[in-house]
Amino acid sequence: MRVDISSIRQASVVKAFKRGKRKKALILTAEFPFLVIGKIKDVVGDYVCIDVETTHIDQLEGRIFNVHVDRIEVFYIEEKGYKIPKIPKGSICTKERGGAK
Amino acid sequence: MEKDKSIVGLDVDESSFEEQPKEDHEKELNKPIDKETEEKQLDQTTEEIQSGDLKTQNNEQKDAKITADISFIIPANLIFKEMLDKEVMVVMESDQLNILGQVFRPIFCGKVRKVTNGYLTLEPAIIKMNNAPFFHFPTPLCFPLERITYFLPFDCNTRIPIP
Repeated sequence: MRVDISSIRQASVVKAFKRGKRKKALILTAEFPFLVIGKIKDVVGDYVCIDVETTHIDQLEGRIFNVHVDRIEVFYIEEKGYKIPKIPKGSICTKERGGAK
Repeated sequence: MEKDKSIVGLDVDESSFEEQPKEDHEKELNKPIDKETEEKQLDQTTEEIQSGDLKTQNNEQKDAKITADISFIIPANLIFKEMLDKEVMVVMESDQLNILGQVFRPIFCGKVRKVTNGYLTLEPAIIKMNNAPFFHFPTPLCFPLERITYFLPFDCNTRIPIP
C-alpha cells in the first residue's frame, strides 16, 4: 500500500489536537486572524473547533472557530508546567492600530 | 480527506509493524539448524537470542516513548528525530506571522524537545523578531513538519541579520 508521507504528518497533527480536547490551545496561522487562543471543543475530520477567548480582533472573541489543521503554522496545546499567558483585552488591537498608522 | 487519513492508519501509530517480519525470518533461519544438530541446546540459545532481541526492542520503544511520546517514528521523519535535544533553526512556509500586533518572519530557534510523526516541539522557543531577535516565547511551540521550509542545526546565540 502506498502511504503518502504528507498525510501521515498531517494526520499526526490532527491526532495531537484530538488528544488535547478540552485543553487550551494557541494557534498561529499565516491567514487572518493570525492568532487564536481558546479551548479545543472538538475535532472533526481535519478541522479543529476552538472556542476562541483571545484573538487580534475583539469582535471575534467568544465564538467557535473551525480551523483547518493543515493550515496551522505554529501551535501549542497547554500542558503541565506551561500555561498560555492571559492577554488583557484590547491590548493587541490598539497595538496593531498604532503599528498600521 | 478523512478517508485518506484513516487508510494511512495513523490510529495505529504505536504498532511496530517493522519488527514482525524480522522475527519471522529469524525463526525460519533457526528452525532447520535445530533439527540437524543438538536440538535442546540450540533451542535454548535461539530462545535467548530471540528474547534478548525482544528486550532490546522493548527498551528502544520505552526510550522512544520517553523522548518522543510516540514510540514509532516513520523512517522519513528520522531526519527530525536525529535533532532531538539539539539546538535548531526552523523556518516556516508562510511569508509572515503576527503575534500581539507584531509582524515577523517565521524564523524560530530553540532546543528540540519532542518529535512526533507530525510535529516537533521547541523548548524554549525563540522568535527571531526584527526588533527583538532573542524573544523567548512564554510557552514551548509546536511546528507541523509539513509546513517547515528550512530546518538546520543552529546555535541559538548566533546573531544574524533578520530581513
